[in-house]
Amino acid sequence: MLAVDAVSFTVHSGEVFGLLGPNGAGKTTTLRMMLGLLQPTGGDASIDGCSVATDPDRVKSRVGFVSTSVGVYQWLTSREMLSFVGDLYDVPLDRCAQRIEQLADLLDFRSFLDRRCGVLSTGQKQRINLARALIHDPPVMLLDEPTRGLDIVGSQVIFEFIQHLRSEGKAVVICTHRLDEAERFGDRFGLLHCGSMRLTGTLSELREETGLGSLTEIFIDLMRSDTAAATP
Amino acid sequence: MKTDVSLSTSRMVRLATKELREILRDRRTILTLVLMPVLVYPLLGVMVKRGLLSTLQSTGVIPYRIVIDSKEAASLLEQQLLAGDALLPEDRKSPTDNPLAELAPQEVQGLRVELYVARDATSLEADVADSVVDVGFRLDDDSSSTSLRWTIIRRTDSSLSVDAFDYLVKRLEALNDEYVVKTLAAREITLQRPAEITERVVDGSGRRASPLVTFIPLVLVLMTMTGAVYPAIDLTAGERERGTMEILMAAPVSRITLLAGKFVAVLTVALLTASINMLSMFATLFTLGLDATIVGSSGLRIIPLVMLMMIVFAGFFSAVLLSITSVARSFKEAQAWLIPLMLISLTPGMFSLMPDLQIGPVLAVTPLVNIVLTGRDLLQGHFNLLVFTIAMLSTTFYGVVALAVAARVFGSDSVLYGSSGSWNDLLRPSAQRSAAPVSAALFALALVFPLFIVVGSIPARLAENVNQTLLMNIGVFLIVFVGVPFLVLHVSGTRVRSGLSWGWTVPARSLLAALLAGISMWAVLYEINLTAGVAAEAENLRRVLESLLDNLAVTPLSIKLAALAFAPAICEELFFRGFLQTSLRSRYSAKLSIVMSAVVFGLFHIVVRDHLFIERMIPSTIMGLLLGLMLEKSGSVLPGMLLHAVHNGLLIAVVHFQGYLEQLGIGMKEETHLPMTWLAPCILLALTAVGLMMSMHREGGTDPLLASPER
Repeated sequence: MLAVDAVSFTVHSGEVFGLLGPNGAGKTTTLRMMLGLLQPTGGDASIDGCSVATDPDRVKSRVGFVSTSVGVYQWLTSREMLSFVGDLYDVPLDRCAQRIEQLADLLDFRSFLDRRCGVLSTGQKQRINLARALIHDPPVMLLDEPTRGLDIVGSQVIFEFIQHLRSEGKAVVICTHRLDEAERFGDRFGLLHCGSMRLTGTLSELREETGLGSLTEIFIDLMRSDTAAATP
Repeated sequence: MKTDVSLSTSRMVRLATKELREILRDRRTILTLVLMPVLVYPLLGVMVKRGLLSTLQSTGVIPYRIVIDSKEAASLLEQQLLAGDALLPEDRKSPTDNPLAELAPQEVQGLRVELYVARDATSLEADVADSVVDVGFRLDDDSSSTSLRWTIIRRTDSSLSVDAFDYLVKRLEALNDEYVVKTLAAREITLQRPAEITERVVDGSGRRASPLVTFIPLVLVLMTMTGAVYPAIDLTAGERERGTMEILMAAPVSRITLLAGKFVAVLTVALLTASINMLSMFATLFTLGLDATIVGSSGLRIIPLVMLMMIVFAGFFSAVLLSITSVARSFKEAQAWLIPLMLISLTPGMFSLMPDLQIGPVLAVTPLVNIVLTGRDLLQGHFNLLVFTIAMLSTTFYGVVALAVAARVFGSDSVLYGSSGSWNDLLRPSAQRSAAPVSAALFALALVFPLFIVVGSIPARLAENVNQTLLMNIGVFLIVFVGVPFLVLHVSGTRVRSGLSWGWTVPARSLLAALLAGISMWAVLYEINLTAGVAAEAENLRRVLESLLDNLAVTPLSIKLAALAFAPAICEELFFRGFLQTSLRSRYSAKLSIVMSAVVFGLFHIVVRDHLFIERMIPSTIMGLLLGLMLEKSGSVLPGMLLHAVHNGLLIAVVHFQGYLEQLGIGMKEETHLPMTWLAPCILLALTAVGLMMSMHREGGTDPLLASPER
């Protein structure tokens, strides 16, 4: 089965790239291949100068990964969990403790830093997970459907988080099918459909190319032309 | 993938600590870990003590319970018993009489007896039959005589009843005897009995353990399993279900390290469960005074051995669990997988309950059964080092294989993201390999060890004479050391020639080195053997080998050379060096691969016939190191075969021509060091051989093993 084929794009530091597409387009698969969680049959991704194919560990240490499907350790406190993840990324102990303090201020979770993760609310767990992805201060962030299942408050936290990442000069890739949201936070976009990249560019470039107003319109047009091509 | 190779021990320990912290905070674990054993065993112990004592032998200080029909009869019986007891000489008192009995307060002062007067004189039989008491006494009314006519009611199927009967009758008969002697003396007749009996009681060299002891290893095994199941599921399938597995997978830590951390955590919990169970079990036995009764006189001294067994078993079972739960995608799925495993595991456990089942070569290498049966024998005081070692080694091998399987499937793409069939990757690769994957090699090793023991025992049984045995042994070597690697190479899709490091073009120097080492190593190994061997053990080994050699005296040299020199040389080299070391080398450094294959080679050589010779490990391992170095340096298994064949052949030829050589004045006395005129040249030759080997380099860059790593 072909999930993703011939997907190619570049993201610069301080840039937020929206990898867009409907469910099943291959967004998550692409992200997981970039992270070395899945092995591609061919091709490579270069992150901060390191190749996933030949040096997956160095890639992993340079990437932070956020996904709503990632859980927390029920029986560890937030602080313990963050320290544990810091250790996985070889962050020195004192640096890690310092980092936890910074992130606790940034994401406002100091009040439940020593509570067991299992008893936290969804929103609180989300904050811990964002902090978890940032604990090793990676230059590249991959966000997989970061707002899925979140309410307005939760989504707002994510938007602010993305804003923070951009200001820190990180290269950010966000997978989402929420095109309206993407328009709010993305600098450039890649439109993925049926496993291949159809269009890339900033919103204004895409508008120019297609003559359409919004990402949603562009996408619907893309899918229509596909069905038209499939039924001659 | 390159990342999967390295294993960091310190990180593994930190990972395991974190996993343990998580597991131990979960109250469910504490429940199975501590509460269960602490509650179950005392309860069980009390039940055992109450219900089963009447069927047990050697009951210690428990007094015999006697029911008697009336109060008057009771006091009459008491008088008679005390009088009889006073008459009994000390050495006739009773084999079942315990010196402690006098200390315990008894119903009848100074006697090991509790007298109960029956409420209903007709219920005596029923009371004895129901084990309410051990024997019943009825005083029959007979006014015509001055003697008391006792009817004693007893059972033959209760050892307590039998002992009590013996104890009581002995005392009454002493009274009778004394009466006869006195009466005869009054009439001035000297008594000349046709048979004078003197009884001497000796203590058994070891108290026999009760059949109940067979439950102990079974219970321990089951408890170890129970302890390991929950963490194994929780740390693999559970972690995947909660979505935390991705945290681990996204981190720059090798899968092997992650798995090793989880393995250590599961193993720790399993061992904790086993220890707490064992502690609680023995503490219960001890407090209830049942330890000697249940375990026999070997008592608590065997605990360390049982503990060692539990560690090996827990390691094995934890690895098996992880290899299964690593495939499951959810807690539920993992449980569904494990239920059949538990059921399968229970069946062999039941074997231990068959008291007559002896542990032979097949059972000694059958997983689980070997542990349960060895445990049973251990607790019953029949410790057999050979069986114990085989059971431990085979279980360890299986554990390593299970861990290798787990490492392959743990966190693999297909498991994490839903598609299935990850176990198939193990054996069906897409491209042909140049060396068997390490997991496949370990699998082969786990197959070869039991096979070697089981198949190896066949020729001696089937053959009619030594020649036939020797020829059949060649077949054994072919099946075990050639058949298995060929099978594994085929199944794993490895090219046979490269997978066995089989190459015709070898450096001339390697052949020279092989010849030199082949003719000189015997002297070096002989000296090492003398230095390392424990005297008694060496004597033992010599006796076994001598009986072997006596049998061989008439065997033609050609058969001896074929069966004892060429077949082992070719087959063992193919397996230990060509197959195993080549596979290890595809993943590990040269040094590590050589050492690992040499140690395995050494382990295979400690079993000689039905005996176990630990000290043979050292010379065999040294030989293995040399042969391993030869493969590493020459790139082919052939020079090693030459070395091995020359070495074995020389020893056999020397023994064959022993008589002839002795005539020439060349001979060796047993257990003495070699004269320097022999030893020095041999050491020199061996060193030259090693030097030659070290001077060889594989043709630069075209190293067939390094050029094509496993994946």
